[in-house]
Amino acid sequence: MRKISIGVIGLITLLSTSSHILLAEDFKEEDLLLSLENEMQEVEKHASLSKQNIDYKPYIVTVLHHKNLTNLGIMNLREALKLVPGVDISVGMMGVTYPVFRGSNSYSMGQSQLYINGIAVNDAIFNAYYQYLDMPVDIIERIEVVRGPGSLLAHEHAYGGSINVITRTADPLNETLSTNIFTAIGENDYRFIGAQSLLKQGEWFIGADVYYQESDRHSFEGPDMFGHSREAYFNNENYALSLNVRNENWNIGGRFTSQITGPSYGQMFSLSQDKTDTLDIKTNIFYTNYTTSIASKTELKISAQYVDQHRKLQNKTIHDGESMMGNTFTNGRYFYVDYKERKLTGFIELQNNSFEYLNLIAGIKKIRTTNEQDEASMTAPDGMMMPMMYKSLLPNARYRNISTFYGEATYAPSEVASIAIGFKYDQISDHDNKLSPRASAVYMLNSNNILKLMATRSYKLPSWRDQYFFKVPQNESAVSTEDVDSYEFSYIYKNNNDDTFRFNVFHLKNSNQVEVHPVSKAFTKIYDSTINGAEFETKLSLGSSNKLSFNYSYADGTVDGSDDAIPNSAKEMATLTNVYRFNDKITTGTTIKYLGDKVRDSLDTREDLEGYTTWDQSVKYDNYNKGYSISLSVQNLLDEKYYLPAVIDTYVNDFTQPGRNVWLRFEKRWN
Amino acid sequence: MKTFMKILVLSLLIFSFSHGAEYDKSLLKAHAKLIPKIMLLDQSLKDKLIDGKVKILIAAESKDEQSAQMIAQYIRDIYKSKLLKYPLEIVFQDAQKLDMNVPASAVYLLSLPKNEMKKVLDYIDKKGVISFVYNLDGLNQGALISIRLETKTTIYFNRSSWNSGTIKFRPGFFKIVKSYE
Repeated sequence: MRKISIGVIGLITLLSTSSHILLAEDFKEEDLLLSLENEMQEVEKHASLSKQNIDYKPYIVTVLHHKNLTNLGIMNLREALKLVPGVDISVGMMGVTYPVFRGSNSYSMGQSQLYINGIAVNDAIFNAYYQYLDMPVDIIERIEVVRGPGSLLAHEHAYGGSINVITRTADPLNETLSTNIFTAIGENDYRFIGAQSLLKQGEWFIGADVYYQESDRHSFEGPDMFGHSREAYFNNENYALSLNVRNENWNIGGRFTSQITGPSYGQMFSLSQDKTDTLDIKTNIFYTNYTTSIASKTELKISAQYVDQHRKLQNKTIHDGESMMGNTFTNGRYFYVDYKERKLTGFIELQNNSFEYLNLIAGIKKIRTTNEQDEASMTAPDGMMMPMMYKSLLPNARYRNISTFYGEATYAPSEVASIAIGFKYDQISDHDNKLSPRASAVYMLNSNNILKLMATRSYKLPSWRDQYFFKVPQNESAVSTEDVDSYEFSYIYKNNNDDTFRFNVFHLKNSNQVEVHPVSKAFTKIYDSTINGAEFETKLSLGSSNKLSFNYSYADGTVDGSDDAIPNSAKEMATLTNVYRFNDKITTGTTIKYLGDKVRDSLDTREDLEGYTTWDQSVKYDNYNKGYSISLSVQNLLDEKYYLPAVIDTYVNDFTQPGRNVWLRFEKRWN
Repeated sequence: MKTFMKILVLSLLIFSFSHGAEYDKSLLKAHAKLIPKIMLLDQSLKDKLIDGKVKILIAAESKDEQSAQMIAQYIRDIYKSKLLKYPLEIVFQDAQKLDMNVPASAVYLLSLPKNEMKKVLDYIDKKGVISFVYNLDGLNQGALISIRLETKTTIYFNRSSWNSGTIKFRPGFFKIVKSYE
């Protein structure tokens, strides 16, 4: 055995250096074979990281790659998510948007988890990650979207779904040293500029990206809850900077993001009179991960993560000279918020595969989130000298501690079958302890046909707003965790590496869904629901190498104990994309998206919201040899009028979405 | 839904004439790592040297030259242009313009229209060299080896296309490949 090892080491060394002196026939067969098998294992590791072999893993996943996104003229993360089957976008106060998975509770922001390079970034106050949705695809290598409560990260869990964004400079598989600059202009005074670079210094890869973008969209909206109809401002200024340093074992980095947006539809169902109103969110992420082999076939992972957020709001909620509850506001009323939170996460994970056919993962994780500051104030009515001050809007949300123990065992007795059982046990400082078990099986009928079965119980913690805002302590238990029992089946037909057909069926049993109570306007546990659905996805080669991608999803959700459908969720969605290559330089990309009708809340007397179809078209000229590309994108080519739903008894009409939009983008690369 | 169907039909009509495969970068990289090592398991590799060099031909359509150059560069980077003592040369070959007299030690095929695939496979047959194909369904058309990333890395071997007279795999090779029926 020792002889073989020495031979293999020698062979590997020879294969990876230029000073070769031996011929293939001089090596023993065992050495050559072992060298090939080692390489196959290395490739397997990379395939797991890049999600290349995801069709054989027990999850329902869509992976969106940088190249395909840019070919389709997609500009940012929010637009990219619309390509995923069963994913819709909803909108809340101040125009804050968030994805909704599989027709689930469209009022809840934390249905999905966002990870940036594996770091969970949802905040505690809203369970949201709005400030990252404008992240440009120029800095994104791939987006891994898991539908359902399974998560690709053993130490994390999801509820409706999870999104992991891998940036190009932090991708552990990216060893292509390059520097890129990119810029774009578009309608609504859209301007974008950014750059990224990956360098190598000894064993270390050093990557950085930076971007700035702004736009000035506005549209006429209303009437709002106070009867005003007027221009709503969606101006947006977003910039970010990140640095990532890694070698084979270490990964250290940080990301700063700033998002400053206009008043949009307003904070309190009131369209603002003041164009200078802003929602200003600044976040910092710092992390370090260390992975090492501590024994034969045993790997240790240690991670420490820090995420903070500073949120400031200025919103004019009452117009000049108007009255409320007998008080007159000659100069209107402004609402201000100054909020800070901080989250520290650490975990240790062991992975062992020393038993034949068995892979074991076990870990512990601690999270501490603290409310650092939540001050709010409102300007005073006429005759009062002092404004109204709130030292704390969330007086009982001082901190939340979560201690987790998790484990997973995967038994794969052959190349065609595997069974996995996992669990996560959480101790939560302001909720009951939670156990989230998961079982799954994958079976390959042959090289073309794969079957998967998955059963998961998971939950979602209420955001601090849902749990504590405007509530006296004794009522806090009215909002508990939202729970889900999920059963999923997936059939995959793979003809070759490009042609794939996927069919998924799912049954979701959601309990304790939180929503704003129609009368009290407080966040309350309102209903349980059941969602049955199916998803169909295919990538087809038409002709010699023509590729077409199509998906259709159906989600039939009803409120338990009634015949009411889940409000504001489209039952049907479909997307067609095509990348048409005229030659090796010119590419056109087409995206056609359909969203079905959305029913209203049972107490809402308005007509159901009609479905819509949009067509986006782009053309790209990419000169690979000279290292530049220019692309022109037209979004909503047919200028379709479509709307996102406004909650009952707030705005009379729904929220108008952007019409036709034209963008021009340029990228220059240096390798 | 009606509007969607109209647009769908229209776009299908437009795209029914379209071409252009998108190749998976990480799969190309995996192929680049494994192909030369598989070639070393051919005991008659020495007989396939071209002027003392191992020469891999990447056969593709002209519009796929970028992807062909990408895998060629991956192989050069990984193997530093040498396979053991043998200098390693990787060249792009436009399948449409393939000259039967061009020499090669092995051929890697990207996605090709049927007639061009047949032309390249006839060439491979004549030369008696190993053929690797990007897509598994290339084996149905007569290529010898394709590699897929499944639960494990799987090397598919099409025994019916194997010319044992010119390609002499070491016996252990058959223990790690999966027969493609």
